[in-house]
Amino acid sequence: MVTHTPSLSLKLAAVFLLVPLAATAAITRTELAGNSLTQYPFFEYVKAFNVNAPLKVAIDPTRFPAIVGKTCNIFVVKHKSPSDWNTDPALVDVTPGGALTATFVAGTIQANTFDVAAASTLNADAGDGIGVPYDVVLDCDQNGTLSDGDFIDGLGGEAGLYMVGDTTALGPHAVTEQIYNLDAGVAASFGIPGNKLGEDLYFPTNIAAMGRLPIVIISRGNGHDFRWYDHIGNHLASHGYVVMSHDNNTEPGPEFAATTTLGHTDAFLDQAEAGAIASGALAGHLDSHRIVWIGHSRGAEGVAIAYNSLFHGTVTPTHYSRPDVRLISSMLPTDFNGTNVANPHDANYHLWTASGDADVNGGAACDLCQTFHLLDRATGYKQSTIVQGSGHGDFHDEPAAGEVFSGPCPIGRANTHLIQLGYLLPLVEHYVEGNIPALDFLTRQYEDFHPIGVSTANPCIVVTNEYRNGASVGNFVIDDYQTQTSPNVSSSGGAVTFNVEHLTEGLLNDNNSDFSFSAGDPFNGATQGGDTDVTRGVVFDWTDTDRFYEWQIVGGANDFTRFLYLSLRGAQGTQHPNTTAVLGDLTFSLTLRDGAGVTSTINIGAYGGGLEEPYQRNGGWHNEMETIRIRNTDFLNNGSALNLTNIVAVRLNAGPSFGDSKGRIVIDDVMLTSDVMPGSPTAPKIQITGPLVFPDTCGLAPVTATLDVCNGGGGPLTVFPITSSSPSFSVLTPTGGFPLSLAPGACFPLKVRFTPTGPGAVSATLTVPSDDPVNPSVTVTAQANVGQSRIVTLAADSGSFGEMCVAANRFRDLPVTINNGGTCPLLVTGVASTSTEFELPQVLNFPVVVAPGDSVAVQIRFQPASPGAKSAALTFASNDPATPLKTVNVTGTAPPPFVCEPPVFAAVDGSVGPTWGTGRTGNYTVTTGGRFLGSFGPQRTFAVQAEGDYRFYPGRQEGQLDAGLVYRRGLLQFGATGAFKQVNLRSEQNTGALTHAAFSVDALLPSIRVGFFAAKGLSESSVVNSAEVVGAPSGGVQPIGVTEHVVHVVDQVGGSVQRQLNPMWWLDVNAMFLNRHAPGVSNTAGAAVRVSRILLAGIVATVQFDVNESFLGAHPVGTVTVGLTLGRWSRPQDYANPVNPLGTIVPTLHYELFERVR
Amino acid sequence: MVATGSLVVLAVDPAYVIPRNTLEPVLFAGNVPVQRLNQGDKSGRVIGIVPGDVDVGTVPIWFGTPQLPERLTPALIESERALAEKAGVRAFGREKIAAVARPRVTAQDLASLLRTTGADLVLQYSPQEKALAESWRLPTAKATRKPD
Repeated sequence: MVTHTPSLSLKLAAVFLLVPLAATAAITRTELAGNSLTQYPFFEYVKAFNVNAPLKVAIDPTRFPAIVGKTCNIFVVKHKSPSDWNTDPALVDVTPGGALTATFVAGTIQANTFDVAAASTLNADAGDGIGVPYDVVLDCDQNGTLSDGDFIDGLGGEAGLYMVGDTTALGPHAVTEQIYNLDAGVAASFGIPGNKLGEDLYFPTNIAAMGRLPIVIISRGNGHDFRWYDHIGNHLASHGYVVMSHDNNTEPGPEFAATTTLGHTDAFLDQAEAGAIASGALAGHLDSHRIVWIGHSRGAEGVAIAYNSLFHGTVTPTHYSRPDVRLISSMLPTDFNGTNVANPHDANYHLWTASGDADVNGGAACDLCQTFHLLDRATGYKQSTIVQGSGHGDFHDEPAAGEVFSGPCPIGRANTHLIQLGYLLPLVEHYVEGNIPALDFLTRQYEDFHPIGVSTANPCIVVTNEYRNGASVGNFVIDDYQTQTSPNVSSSGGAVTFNVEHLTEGLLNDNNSDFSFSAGDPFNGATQGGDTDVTRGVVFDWTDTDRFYEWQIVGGANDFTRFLYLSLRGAQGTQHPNTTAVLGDLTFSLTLRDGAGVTSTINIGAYGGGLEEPYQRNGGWHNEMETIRIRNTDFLNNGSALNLTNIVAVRLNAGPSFGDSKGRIVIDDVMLTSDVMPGSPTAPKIQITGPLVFPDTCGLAPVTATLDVCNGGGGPLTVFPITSSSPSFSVLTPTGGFPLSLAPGACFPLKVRFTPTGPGAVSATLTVPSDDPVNPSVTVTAQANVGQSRIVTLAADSGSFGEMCVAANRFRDLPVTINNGGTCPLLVTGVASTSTEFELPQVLNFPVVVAPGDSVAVQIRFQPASPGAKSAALTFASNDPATPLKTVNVTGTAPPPFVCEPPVFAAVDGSVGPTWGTGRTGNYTVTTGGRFLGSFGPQRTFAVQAEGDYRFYPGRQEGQLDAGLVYRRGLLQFGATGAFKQVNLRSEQNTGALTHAAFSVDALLPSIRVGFFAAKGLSESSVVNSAEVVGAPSGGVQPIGVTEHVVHVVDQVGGSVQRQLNPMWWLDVNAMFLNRHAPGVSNTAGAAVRVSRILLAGIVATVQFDVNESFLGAHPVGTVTVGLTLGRWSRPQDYANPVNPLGTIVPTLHYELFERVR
Repeated sequence: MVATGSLVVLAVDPAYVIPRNTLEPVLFAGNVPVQRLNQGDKSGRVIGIVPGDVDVGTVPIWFGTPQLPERLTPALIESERALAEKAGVRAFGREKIAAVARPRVTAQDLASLLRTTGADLVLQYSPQEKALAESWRLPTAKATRKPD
């Protein structure tokens, strides 16, 4: 249901006039204005509307599901710039019925198409320009302002639509015409011959009140008169141009004509500014940077040659240069000079072709008569207009010169002029003024859109448009056939597959001199290239069967949303049976297929027309290339489910199911285009340097960073509300609100707010929509890192304190290093230990602050209270968000006492008692001695044992020193000792010194020690007395002998036992086998038994009985002694000690005395 | 730049001078192309300048092979002359020329020549091209100040 609500909109507009446009983030920009189509896609969005046509608005509910169910007021409003919308969001409808209220429903775009303005109801008077701009708004909150939730076609540099008047009609300016000759001398100075001085000038009569106006130069053709272009001069001058048609030196040829064009343009600027022309009316009113060259015939080739001279720098005009030539339009040009001379290069180039031309006739037999060559040589923006039924003379206005026409269905000079003027104005406006709706005239099929003034009743009027966008950006050529000449590979490198018939890739150059079709001339009728040209295309046909020709889209070009249109040019093959079978436009379909296999197909005839039937001159004249453009988003209509961001193939479907059942076509320039405006400097160009990196932050406080959005283009840039993929990042609405308008070269520092929610790296994609035609949606990554403190602990020795004996004053300090490995200050708020044996330092004030990267050492003290393995968990509380409680495990060991305090045995003793035996050296003995045993080693399992004793007998004295090493292993104890003994026998002259080495093994059982020992002499003997004995002379010789007394070590092997008798008493027993060396004596044995009793602490009484305790005589001897031991020596109570050596039996060095003779 | 020459008015077959933009027959006089000043297709009279000191009574004057005058070379002209002479084209002869010759004219430059004598000849011999004569006599744009 639709209703008109004009009064409501006005009231609401007043109410909401002051509401800021801050909520524009939810305003949706999309195309809305257009025309209904009778077949899919059922609607075409366009920019230009002829004023005599109705205006419709449609929105596809499958593309914009948010619209479904909403009732919105449809406003057609005067176009506002983004800044104007910002300051004045009020909606004021300009249609006679006021805003239309409509409810949008699910389903199809057809169901959501509305007539919003009848024909001829909107103002189209654009003054001397083309198109009155309007925006269309779906005011879905019905608040009468452009606001949140609304949809708009507009809100950018371009309006949503333009209402266009009759471009064949004169403009608003009265025109003054003046015809004159240049001064011959001046002309000569610009290279103009004396017989080509004439200029016919047209300019707005009120030019004095106007600024600098663009200039249109017309270079006539051969046999023409420069005064035959009044129709163009008056038309363009009435629209605000200064037009000068000059005499042209075409008779020698186009190169001379080119020189004349160059010279007249320069001389005109010179003389006009000098006041020589039109009484000085033009002085100060010519814009020498906006020049259009229009040439006719040889003059049309001449303007291309003139540009070629500028391009190569062979000519340097005084008052203008190459970039000043904004447009070249060649009317029916010759091509005498070929590829390298008649070449518009990068100029914005337009070509007129009259299919009924009887002069530059375009015939196959006349290469220089084929107009299309120049077009295909152009490398910039280029377009052509082919007019059927028109002759060579129809493009000037001298009836007496004739139409120079050949062919059927003539349309005459008048109709030709309507077409000529109706297209020429938008053409010039587009390239000189940057007029936007003018592009629709150049790109849309004539059947769909054409100048109002051209008759629609005359079936002979057939116009074909070709357009190729020449921007260096915003285009992607899928296949132009100039490279990859294999029929199975596109010029973009993608695979080409097909089952169409008679396919040939090759030069667009009919290879013979007629237009009769033959299989040997597959490109029959193609005259786009001459013999020196290389322009190529493909030709194929189909006959009553569905066929296809498919281009694979190469990786990287799959996102068709980057472009506005899919475009190609094509023509029906001249005089092919499939072409002549049905005379008329030929249609086929184009299909897009995405990566998931989803397809969407549009018949090119949906937009009106198709590929034109070649002009039926002599049964069919040259191929008439026509550009087919389909808006990429049209493929999405009605829920096609096509993924336009991942198109993998474009398929041309032909045949009964897709259009005409049979046909033969030439195809070229398959491309995607964004319609970047000519003179790219006038196009806005968004520039954002990313990523946007926030400085590291600490904490959760929001921070802001600056995102510079710049306009690197030549036109104003409009930036729309920016969206973020993450709520953590948001773009602050600038003071002026969105949309944001940026002048060329300007930058705006948008503030982006980052609201941290936690530590760590965070990123988001900011999507910046703008009216940049190439990059309408730019994404930039925002990155932030919420800094944090990070506690890192380092404990020496992996937290092991090692061994520390239990003692009141014994402890070990080790540092635990706390490092801040983060980017924010680390606050240590507390330290705790699970064990009192691991003491923490006293901290007076928490927190302890550790700067990023810094460290502090915390001394931990290990002071065990008891033996054993110790451990503790030290907990450091900090502001590290990841590890608020950091635990450091520490360990230590308190060894058992026998390690920490191993027993040290030291004692001195003395004894006295009688001796016995027949060989004793005295009746009593006194013995004193001392012993020491000190353990060492990690576990105190080693010990040094030293002993010394002195024995006194009346007949001898002896002293012995022992030193040895003792090792304890479990129950066993091993000893190795050495003994030195000095003996003094009263009966001998000298003392003797003896040594032996001993080895012992003891088994230390809980209450008994059992040992084994052995000793072997080292310094075994010592002479203690000697005497010479003189023998009886014999034979004159008296022998002398030496008798020596020797003390000699007695080797021994024995065992020992120590056993507890009771807590106070114990018993030591040892016995040994004594290996004697003295001659004549036998080995013997020795033994000792000692009973010890603790008298007092450190005093032990002993009673000992010895047999052969040291000196061995001829008979056994012994002693019975009693004594005291002061100090402490090992006893059975010590055997509980499982580790330490407890001292071993050091055998007493036994010795004997005997005599020997030497 | 032509400094001297002969102004000639020739009766021609109009079919040769129908204006077109494709190749046209080139009018030669001896070893030089004639600089045509009008079309002559309506009147059958072509007015041109034979540049230099060519004795127009002694050289053949003829329409050669369609060509662009700007592309002519001495060799090509020689070739064309040979073809013409082979076809029987001959000079008019000094006597014939002397009979129609007019007094020598002197002009400051080509523009002046056309503005006066040239325009007169067009109006006299090819009045259908009055507009052409008028174009030579258009007012001259004169600077009110010296050009920069």
